[in-house]
Amino acid sequence: MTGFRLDEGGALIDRARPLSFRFDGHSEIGFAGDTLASALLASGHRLFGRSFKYHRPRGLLGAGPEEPNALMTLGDSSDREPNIQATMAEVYEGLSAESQNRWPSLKHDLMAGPLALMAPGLKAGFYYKTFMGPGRKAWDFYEPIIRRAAGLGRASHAPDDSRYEKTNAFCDVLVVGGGPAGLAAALTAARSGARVLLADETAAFGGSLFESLASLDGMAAQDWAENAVAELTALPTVRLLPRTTVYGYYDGNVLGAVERVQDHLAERDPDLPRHRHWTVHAGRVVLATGAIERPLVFAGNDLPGVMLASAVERYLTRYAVAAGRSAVVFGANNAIYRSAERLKAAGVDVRAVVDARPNPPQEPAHHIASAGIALHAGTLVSEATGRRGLKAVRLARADASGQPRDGWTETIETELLAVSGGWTPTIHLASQAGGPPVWSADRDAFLPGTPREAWTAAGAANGTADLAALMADGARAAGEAASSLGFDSGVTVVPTIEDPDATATPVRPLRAIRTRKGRGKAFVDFQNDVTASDVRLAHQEGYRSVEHLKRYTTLGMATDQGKTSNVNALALMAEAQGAAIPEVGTTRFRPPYTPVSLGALAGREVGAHFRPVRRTPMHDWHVAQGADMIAAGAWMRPRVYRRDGESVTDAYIREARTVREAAGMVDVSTLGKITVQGPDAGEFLNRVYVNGFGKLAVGKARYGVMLREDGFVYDDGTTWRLADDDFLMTTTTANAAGVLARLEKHLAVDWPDLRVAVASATDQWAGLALAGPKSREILQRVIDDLDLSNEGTPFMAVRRAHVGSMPVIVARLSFSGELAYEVHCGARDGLAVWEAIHEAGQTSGLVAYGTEALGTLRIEKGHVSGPELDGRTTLADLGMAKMASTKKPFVGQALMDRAAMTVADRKLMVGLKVLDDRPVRTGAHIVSDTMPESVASLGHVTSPTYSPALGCHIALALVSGGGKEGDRLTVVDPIRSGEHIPVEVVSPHFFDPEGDRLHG
Amino acid sequence: MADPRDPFAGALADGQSGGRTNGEPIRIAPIVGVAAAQVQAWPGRKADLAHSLAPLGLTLPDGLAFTETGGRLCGRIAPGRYLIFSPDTVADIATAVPGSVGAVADLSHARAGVRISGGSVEALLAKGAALPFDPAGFPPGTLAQTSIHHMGVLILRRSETVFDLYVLTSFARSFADWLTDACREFGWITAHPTRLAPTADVPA
Repeated sequence: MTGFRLDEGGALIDRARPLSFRFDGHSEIGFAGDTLASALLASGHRLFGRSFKYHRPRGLLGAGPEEPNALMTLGDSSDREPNIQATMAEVYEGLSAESQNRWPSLKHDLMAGPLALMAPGLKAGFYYKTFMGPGRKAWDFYEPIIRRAAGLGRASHAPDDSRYEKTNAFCDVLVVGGGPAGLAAALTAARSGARVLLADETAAFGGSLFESLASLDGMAAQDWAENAVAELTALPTVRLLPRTTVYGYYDGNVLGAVERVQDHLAERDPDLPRHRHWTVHAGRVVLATGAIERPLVFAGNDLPGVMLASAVERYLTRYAVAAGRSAVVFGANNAIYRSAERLKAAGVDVRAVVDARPNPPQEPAHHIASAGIALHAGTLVSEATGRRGLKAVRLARADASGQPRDGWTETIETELLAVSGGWTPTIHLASQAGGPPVWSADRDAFLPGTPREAWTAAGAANGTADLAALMADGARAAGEAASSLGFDSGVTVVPTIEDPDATATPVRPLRAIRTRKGRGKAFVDFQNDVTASDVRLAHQEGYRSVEHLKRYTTLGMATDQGKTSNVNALALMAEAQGAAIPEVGTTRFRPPYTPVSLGALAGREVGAHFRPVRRTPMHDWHVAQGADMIAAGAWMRPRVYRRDGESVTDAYIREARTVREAAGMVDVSTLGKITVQGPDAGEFLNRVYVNGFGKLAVGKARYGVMLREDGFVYDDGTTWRLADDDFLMTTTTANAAGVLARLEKHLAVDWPDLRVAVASATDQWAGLALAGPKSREILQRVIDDLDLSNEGTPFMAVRRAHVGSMPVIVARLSFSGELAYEVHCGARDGLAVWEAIHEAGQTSGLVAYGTEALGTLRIEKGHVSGPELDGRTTLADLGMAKMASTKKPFVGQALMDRAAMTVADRKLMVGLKVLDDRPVRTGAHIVSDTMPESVASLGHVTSPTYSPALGCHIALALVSGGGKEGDRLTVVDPIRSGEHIPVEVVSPHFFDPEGDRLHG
Repeated sequence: MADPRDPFAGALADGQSGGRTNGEPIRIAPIVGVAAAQVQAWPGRKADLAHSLAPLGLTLPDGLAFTETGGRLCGRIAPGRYLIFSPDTVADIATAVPGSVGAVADLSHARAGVRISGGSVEALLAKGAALPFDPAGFPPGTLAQTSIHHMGVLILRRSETVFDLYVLTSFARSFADWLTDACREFGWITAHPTRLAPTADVPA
């Protein structure tokens, strides 16, 4: 047992609310407010995980988002989530946590022994050098084994049942970080009247004020923070987001943040998300992101029991946990004295303060002397020893360069070594949205570079250490931000501060302490198991750029992203190169600052909410009639109405046959419809269609084809003239939006002089097509104000009429080649009109048919559709060359006759009749009928079907040169079936080529 | 009783769901009996269009806004282009605008409207659209065309706590699905279908 809970204190824990949770299957206890780390530490745990590569035992290094070692897998069912930092996870009743990268248990990890023996050989690049050397095959064999041995946690394969949401926030001033600088900034901006959003990654605002001994406006720092939060909470213009990590800074002052809404709760509300993603649109941003303490690099520095001094203090003040019964504190700055005093006050046996500086400051030195703590000035901890945890530290005298002068001078037994290697400002967001970080020799740190977005860094993120200075910095930054947005910045909130720690803190850089041969590894990156000698080796092997160093050694990768290792590694590189740190460079940061759950990024766009669909007014009728619904773009359409025992094929054959024998009706509401109105509408249509529309009579429809500007066919459909200056254009279902956009562009850019207005009317009209020899008698039963005979409603006529009291437009159009009428009505009347006609047709054998039969009927007639209008076909390819007017210009005309578009071997649309009883499939290749494997493809099948009218399988196809009717070819489908199917080239007008049936 | 012909009335089952114990649920009401027309002036004829519509009591708005006169709403949806919502009919609008001035397209069946109200409406809309919905940035009388969950939507703020949303008719049910799902944390309750009444008549 090492760590323990103090009898009193702990700003964040509620001793009245004890709770139990499980760690590696064992029951543990903690208090509400504990993190998983603090609760386990309080129970005496030292071992929190096994390292990534060497499986070394690891304990807590930190207490916040910087923690590289204590990664846990939380949850045990669908919410199971690996690689969660124990320092960031709050405990709740029933929490289940597991350590990672160990087998069979954390204490007895079988991989640890062999890897310890192999460790001297496992240098940077070892795996690639050793296992890739023999060749690619060898690597393929070894890779999975290596990956199994090295690693982090494993995710669940079960679907995640948790709810995630996304939302947006707009504010004038976003303050990232709720420590002293952030609170001062938020108060200043809020009091100016600006809308403020304050986010902090932890559960409680206050940051380092929890550790401060200062008095602010005569109050304890913690009380001041509480008051500040209360004031902010009461303001309607302020939004406080605890447990919210701002992880990414993007263009336009847009930032991404993830709020962990319920991860800390035992009872989760199903109506609330687990995580909520915030897209924050900020006027100005104050980056009060704080700083992370730097570990020190020496032999054995990764033993459980070696911790950051700031973390040791945090566990004391926030959770009332002492990390050990005995302690040594080591560093080269004044903060270590406060840590020592605080440990002592908590009842810990502080055995030494080891200050690398030869002349430590007098006042703190005096303080600890009076507390009875030994001070070793000008001294280093050169080595930490122990097996599964720290047992003792060895001290050595420091020379002028901060390296051990000779062998160790003294060994001190201790459970805890608190280290402080200075501070690394948290500049991730600043780096994402700014220029390169700037090295400050004064601060021994990289500071934020030049902003590229509207942010100001403040406080410790700016390299400021002194409490009064950093709060003033936060207030200044927020005041400037608010006033730049037009808010009164008369009030900057800087409390009157009396801080016993306010002595100037001279920083003495303390670099990696050289390890004596055979005295153990000195780690730089704990999470990725990168040692000081790995960095030196990388340099020797020529990986001198920091970017190469990172990729070669894996330094700074994974979830950690170098939070504790970056500067120490650069210092090592600098030393190896004999250069200064800024000459070696720094890694730039990209989002995310800490890992973001994929669920938060997906939000509610999952499952049934993955994407919205469009439904026709008759949708429910189709479903009630047992239709198989199929997606056609965003639309849902009936595919077939299957009867008992029918396959899809059975159903569409029956439906298509019924249309030819009696009558069928199909929902065509999805057809794209565009109103084209105005005095110049006819001229406009003349220009967009290849054929003429200017002289189309009122009350008539005409089939039209439009080309792209490059001369290829774009879309087709009929357009109806409802009045002199009022047309209704129809487009294919798929291209409705695209055609409208083109028309708008032509009117806005190409021909702004035309007085034409277009509007999407697709949703205005519900439509059905009634086809078959009995269609006229059926429709006439429900319409008595229109004569549907060839005289009253001739082919291509468009007439207004009523079904009951409901106004409809009847258009005598046919896609099926049968006598047919389209009936369109207002969408709200769609179902009633459909039902009226359906009922009227029952005595005539009318059936509803779906998209499969619709396709069959049009293929039998050789009508082109999406598969033929694939963007690569010309009018001539589709047998429609004669449609193009020679009397007027139209879009695409200039380029439609280019040489490549008129060569003889272009693929032309033909009909294919299958010569045996096998179906052919869309996309299958067509070859000459000899030696299918060794000849080039002549083309492909575009639209195949079984034709009930012809009693055989047929298809539309695109064939090079078109072939001659009667040619025998072979359809091959090498990937899907491997079959060779004999076919004959025929006219694409398979059925009723003279069109007699159409005219009824 | 809800009119099953109305896309939203059909899509929103009567009822309520979800919600915090200490919060006012979002009220969701289909807007029924609304006619709509898109009106466009020919280039250079905007003043004439305004003149043509004035006898009907309609005023053309400027900017991202709508006007509300005589029980009708007129929103600007593009330069020189307006969408007018009217109780029952827009036939008189087509008559009032001569072909030499502009065009009128009846879209009464093409739009489906739903009214949402309550203290959490801004937070609800923020989930779907990246617009500042606070009253300072989006005061009553503001109109926005945006997309929510990949569906085009026209948003009209009728008052501090009341928004009217219009989507393409075919999207009504998918939009209702999004809406009721997004409401879960606040709770929602379907209210009786409402007319295009002035804001004051809307029960909050």
